[in-house]
Amino acid sequence: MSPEPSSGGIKHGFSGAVYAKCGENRVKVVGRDGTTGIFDGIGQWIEGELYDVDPQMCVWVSAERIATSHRLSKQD
Amino acid sequence: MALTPDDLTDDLPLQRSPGPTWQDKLDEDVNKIPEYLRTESPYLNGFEDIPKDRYLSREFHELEKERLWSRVWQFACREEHLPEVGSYIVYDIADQSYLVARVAEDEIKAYPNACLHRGRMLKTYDGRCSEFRCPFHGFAWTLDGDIKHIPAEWDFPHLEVRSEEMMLPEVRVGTWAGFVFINPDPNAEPLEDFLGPEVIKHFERWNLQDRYVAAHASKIIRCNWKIANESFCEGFHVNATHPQGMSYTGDPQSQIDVYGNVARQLSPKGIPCPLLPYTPTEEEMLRDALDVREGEDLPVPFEEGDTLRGVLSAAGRERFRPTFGDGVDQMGDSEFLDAWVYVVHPNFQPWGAFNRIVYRFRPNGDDHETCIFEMMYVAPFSGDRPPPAEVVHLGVDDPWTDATGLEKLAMVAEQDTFNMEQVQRGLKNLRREGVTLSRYQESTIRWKHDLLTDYINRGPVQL
Repeated sequence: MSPEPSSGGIKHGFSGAVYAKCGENRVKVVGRDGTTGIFDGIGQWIEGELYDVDPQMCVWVSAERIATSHRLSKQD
Repeated sequence: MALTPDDLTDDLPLQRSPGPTWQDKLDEDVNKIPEYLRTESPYLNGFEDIPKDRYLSREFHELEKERLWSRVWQFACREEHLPEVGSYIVYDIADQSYLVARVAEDEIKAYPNACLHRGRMLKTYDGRCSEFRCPFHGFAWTLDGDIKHIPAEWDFPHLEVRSEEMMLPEVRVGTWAGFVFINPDPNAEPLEDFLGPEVIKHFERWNLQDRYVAAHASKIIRCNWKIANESFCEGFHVNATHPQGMSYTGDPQSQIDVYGNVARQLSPKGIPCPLLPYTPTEEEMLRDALDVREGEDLPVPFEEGDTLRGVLSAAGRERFRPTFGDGVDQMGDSEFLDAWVYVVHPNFQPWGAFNRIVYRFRPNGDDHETCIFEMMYVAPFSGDRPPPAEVVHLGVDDPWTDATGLEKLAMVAEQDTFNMEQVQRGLKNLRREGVTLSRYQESTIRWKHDLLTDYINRGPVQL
């Protein structure tokens, strides 16, 4: 299934599925059983055999990723 | 034994989440916090639902205008937003607008934002001035509110005998921790009494007055202001709204305390959510806390035996050492890594310790179905005070991540905001009269509504 992830994935704590951004407003999800699906940034299904997804994880993964963490920031 | 309706009183023993508590983690920390910061003050007041009309009805919004916003202490700006004599800001709340101005080196005053001639707003944006001059006919007032100029004074003989009516009416002003508050009620209790001695003592330790606004963003949300506000009044939502944070955030283990008009929620880091079906390692928790994804390296050293709490508190301590000096060594580990969410009734959340976070929630003008949600960082500084950050104004469909100064917190807010509009819409579909709250984890929301009820029941403000 294309496209390929454009950033490293995050494993969902409950389902074990791995979420990774794969382009603008697209998230690739690989379920624990190996099934995959492509979803948009709020979890709407685009393609693939995987249908169930956590929309909030899609929001997180698809967001413009900001490099600086408020837990480590040196801005002050 | 099964509970019966008669068992549902405040005498029913209070249950807390399984697993270690915030207090348990404090016991393990190398650097402890003082005992007065550890006191517990839970809030219990029944099990009733919160009527959904409070979020949906125009009538309730009108009651809030008449009986809440007209008599409550409310955060207007930071003192640094008024750096010079003559600096002023326009503070809007619902359909009301106030001018908040520095009128002397050590004095701030606030006035309803209206010319006493024909009622035009005197100012519509923040700035600096030597007088308040109305752009309509040119009536002018001194910074102190005295009438200074009446154009064509010969035509206003009646004002000569009613001169006291031409002073700008004052609104109560108070300052605390660098925050400027106003209260339109002339009979309001002093701000210090409103905040209470416990909370004032807590914040004395963190010197928020010696910080500056390092980032500030404002976004319009399509929901009632209370829906947005209450999204940040409980940690219960983390397991569903922030699933990437479950491994390291023990939000169900949060401690919730209420001190009069201020509540706080203390959420520990380094405790997995007890709903998780596995136990993450300390390194896994740290990776998630810093959003380190598959194939990426941790940006901080981590060795065998290290813990999230140890690593993040040490990083936080070094981060603040340049501004606080070695005083950071006297601070507790918790103060550098846990969420210290203080909730000041009705709409203000200055986080305690070294989180830097400040939230404010207001109705969007006179519209009860949209609101303005603001996030700021108040950060320490070295040397001269930097100017406060300009506000990044975000529209309803602009992502928080456009405000890059908020760092990764913007990504977190994106998830919270994803819920807010859908709560507003969902409440209209709800086939119940109210929403149900958990007894402990969501008790801050009950407390907020109980206070709101108290304000509503007092009737209109007596001017």
